[in-house]
Amino acid sequence: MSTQGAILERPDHFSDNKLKLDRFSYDNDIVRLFATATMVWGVIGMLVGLIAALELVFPGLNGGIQYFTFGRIRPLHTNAVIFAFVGNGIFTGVYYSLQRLCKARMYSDTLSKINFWGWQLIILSAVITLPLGYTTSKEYAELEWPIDIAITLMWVVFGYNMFATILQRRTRHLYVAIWFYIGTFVTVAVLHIVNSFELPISFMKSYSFYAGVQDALVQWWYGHNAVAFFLTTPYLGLMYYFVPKAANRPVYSYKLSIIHFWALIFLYIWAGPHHLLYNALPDWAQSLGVVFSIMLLAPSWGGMLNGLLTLRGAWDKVREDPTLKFMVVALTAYGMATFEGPMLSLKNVNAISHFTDWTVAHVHVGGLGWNGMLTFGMLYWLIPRMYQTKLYSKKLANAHFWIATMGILFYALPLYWAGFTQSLMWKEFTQEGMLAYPNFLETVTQLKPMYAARAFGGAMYIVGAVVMAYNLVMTAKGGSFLKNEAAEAAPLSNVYEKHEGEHWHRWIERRPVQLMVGSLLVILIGGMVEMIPTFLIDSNVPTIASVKPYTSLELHGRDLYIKEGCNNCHSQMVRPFRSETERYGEYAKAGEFVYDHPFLWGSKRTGPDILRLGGKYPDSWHYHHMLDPESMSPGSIMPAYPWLFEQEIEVETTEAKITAMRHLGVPYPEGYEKRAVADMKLQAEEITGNLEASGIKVSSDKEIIALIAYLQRLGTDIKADAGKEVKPYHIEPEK
Amino acid sequence: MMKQILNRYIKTSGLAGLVMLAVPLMAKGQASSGSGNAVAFTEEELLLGFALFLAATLVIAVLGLLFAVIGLTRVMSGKALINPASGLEESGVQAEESSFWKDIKQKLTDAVPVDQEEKVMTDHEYDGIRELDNSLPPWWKALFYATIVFSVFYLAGYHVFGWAELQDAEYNTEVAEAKARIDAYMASKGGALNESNVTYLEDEAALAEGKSIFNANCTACHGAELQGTVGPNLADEYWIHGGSVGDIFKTIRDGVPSKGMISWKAQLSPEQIQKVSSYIISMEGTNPPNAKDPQGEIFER
Repeated sequence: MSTQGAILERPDHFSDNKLKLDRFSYDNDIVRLFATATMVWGVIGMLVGLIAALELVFPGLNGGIQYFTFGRIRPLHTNAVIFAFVGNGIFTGVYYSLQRLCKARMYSDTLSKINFWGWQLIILSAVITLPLGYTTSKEYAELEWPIDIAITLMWVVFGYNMFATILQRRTRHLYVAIWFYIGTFVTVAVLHIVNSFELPISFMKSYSFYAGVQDALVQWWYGHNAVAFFLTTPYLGLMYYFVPKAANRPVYSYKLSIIHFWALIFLYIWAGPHHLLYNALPDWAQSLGVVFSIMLLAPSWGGMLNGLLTLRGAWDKVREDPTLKFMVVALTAYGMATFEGPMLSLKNVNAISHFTDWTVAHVHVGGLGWNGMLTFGMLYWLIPRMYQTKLYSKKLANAHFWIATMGILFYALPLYWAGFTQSLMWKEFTQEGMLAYPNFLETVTQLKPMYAARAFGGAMYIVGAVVMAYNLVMTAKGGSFLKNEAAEAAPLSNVYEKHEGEHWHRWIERRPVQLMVGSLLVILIGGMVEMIPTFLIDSNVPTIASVKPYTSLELHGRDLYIKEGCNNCHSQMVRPFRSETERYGEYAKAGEFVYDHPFLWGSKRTGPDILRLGGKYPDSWHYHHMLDPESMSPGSIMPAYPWLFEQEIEVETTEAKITAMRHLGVPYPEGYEKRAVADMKLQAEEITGNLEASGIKVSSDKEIIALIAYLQRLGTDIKADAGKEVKPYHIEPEK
Repeated sequence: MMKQILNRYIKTSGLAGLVMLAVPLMAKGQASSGSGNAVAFTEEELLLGFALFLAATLVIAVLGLLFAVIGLTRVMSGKALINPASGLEESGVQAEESSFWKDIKQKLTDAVPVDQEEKVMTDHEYDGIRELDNSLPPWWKALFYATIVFSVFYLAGYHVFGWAELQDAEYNTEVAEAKARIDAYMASKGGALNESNVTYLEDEAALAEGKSIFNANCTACHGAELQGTVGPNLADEYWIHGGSVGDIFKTIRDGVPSKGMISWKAQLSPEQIQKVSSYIISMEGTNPPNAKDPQGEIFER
């Protein structure tokens, strides 16, 4: 190894090219735009999260307004912090570092601007449509089909701009940060497109192409890898640029970069099924999810180690420099979350943690700790540089650091406690073999103080972010913005002389196209191995003859369930544990979900599982419960849904819904779409009849009737009561 | 010398740790508590979860301790001061630090010390960022290998050799074990209450407890004064499913799902059902206000 590295950086042009330097400039304007958006959306997204957290403590907080219930704003929170806060953070860091790492201005300022404004419009459309109830229900992919198309377009704009810049670069080799950017670009594209396959039935409403088990597998392949390739790999790329920059230290180990990059992207893609352990997913797919999650531990820690060990010899700076402090906590949080992740993927740990607040605590250690803190560190480093000045107040930055760090602890610890407490309560039996806490609500009311403490921690974190925003605005005011930063570099010559002792991996670092294709191939393997057999081999989803398609009224009710985001708090997945079958009934079978486009298994039980809810209570119970949950379940933290009693069922789309479902393979009999509305009325009137017998007068065209029909259908198809009456509106599927 | 031994030690202990993690997991399906403790499964499950964390922590702690001891011996024997060149020559590194913490850190990461890092400096440079080419930390490599070995054993264990049960079988085992345990417990208590041997309880304490069970579970449908709301009036003499204490006991235990009365057997013990049935009978004829119209047949007590 040579010690004269810096001089030999471009060994191909040290002779005649040396004098012919290109003069160009870096576009800081686009970086500033994205940085501003990061701050603004960050605060907004976190505030929405705080409101959602408070709604669990004060269920009436939505003020009786349908647009602000937990079920509708929880997706808004997750989308805002992931795609608006972190998304803009990614663009900020990539647009800054890519230009400098390639010694080239972005390929097209216009494309940069389109990327910026297009992305903000997408976020704005999410802010409008999610509270209105336009959602696909698939986590972190809730946005409806027109917005999905817009996201695809914007991602292509970003990728094109990035790749064209890379092709115009004036450095021979691609730095590890860029490997991560390229890996991110291709994988997010694949994930988004595959998971968004949906059949539109109208503007802003569609059904997932996949059903039940398959939909769940695709969704969590996507969901898990949204964490991997939107929250992790691009941020590792940013870490590889900003940590050595801020510490002014060389990256610790090139070897480690190579092995952890390839291992990480290859292994990550397989791990999705760990979100579906002890579910109706086939055992073999679950086991793959477990082992690939375990194998992820070392490659994940590789990133943390390379970051932390880069700081060797610079720890005195860490004590002084706010940027580095934030980055050290970010890397530490990354290490903790990536240790916890594999542990949560072990079946016996998952048996306890799944569906509880433990998962919520886990993702927030990652989100607040890794993404949040790294973003803050990056902004503290970027803004003073682009404004050619010093940070307005180091004291405020240090204050922010402590508020944010404590905020994370105050957020996470109560939720770990809550998750563990609740799971123990769910699973405890008395000696007689009875559930010790048979009433689900008992286990919820226990958690209220913890939910309040969590909201406090979250509020602290937001205060910190506001302090940062103030500090950075004041920094900007005190400096002068350098819109175009002048730079010079020699152009690349056409010939490259390989020099002796070169690492074999340098080959692909000179070839961005091969690098992109290589990473694409690597990430395709895992998904294909898991999905293709699940889709093609029948034994993975054994059919159950008694499972029938939903009636038109039930289908409408199901769409209301999706619209209201009920799946954010209620699972439909009874797991094969005695504690669950005693509480909820028979555990879920893969064949029950074959007509579920999309699947609605849920990922969190803030309320009880409702897979076997059908027939458990009379219609009148549901009527009262939806109107005022506390009347049937005193102490419930579910909001009331009075608007369902006023709004009418939307019959205009019924025909399109049935037709779309048939296209997706649901065997509705010939001509059913024409009878569907009349059929709906028949079933609705039976329900209003039942309600009338209990002294409730309600018109049969209200949305609540459809919802009751769906809730009463849930899980009943496999109930073995032979004497079940055959109703005229029940559907005999076509053979 | 020392370094090789350490490397080997780290690798084997990493593997051993992983095997330790794997064993409880593999054993889970087969492990039968047999202790007669009714809540054993939950405890067992938890214990296994904790055992995992504990095992992992233990491995790390043992490693840390070993390094501390080795470092200490070397400092005490003066070797560290002299510089253990024999061990470090392999990587062409001269250790000058005498602090054994630095030494330990060096052993753990196999890193070239900061002041000599030019030796592993590559010729890479990107926007002023340079790259060292330090070795992969030995413990990290060991961890990676160990997870791969674990994965092979895990998949083979579940899907080839059947060392552990898959989820359906595991569930059946869990239920069968619980049933045996509960039956044994019930037998030790002289059999369970059922609709044919249940009796009406008259004592105040039992009725008071029956009342509190009623208030906690039944008022939503039957009203606080048993007057009936969603469910029927329970304060009159009319009964849809029979009014004897055995009939009421059975209705509560099994429910009448078709009419919306849920089964309470998962939530209330037979003794509790007996008390609440007795309370309901004791309230007959109280004529609460806003009572629901009578339903069913009249029952003479």
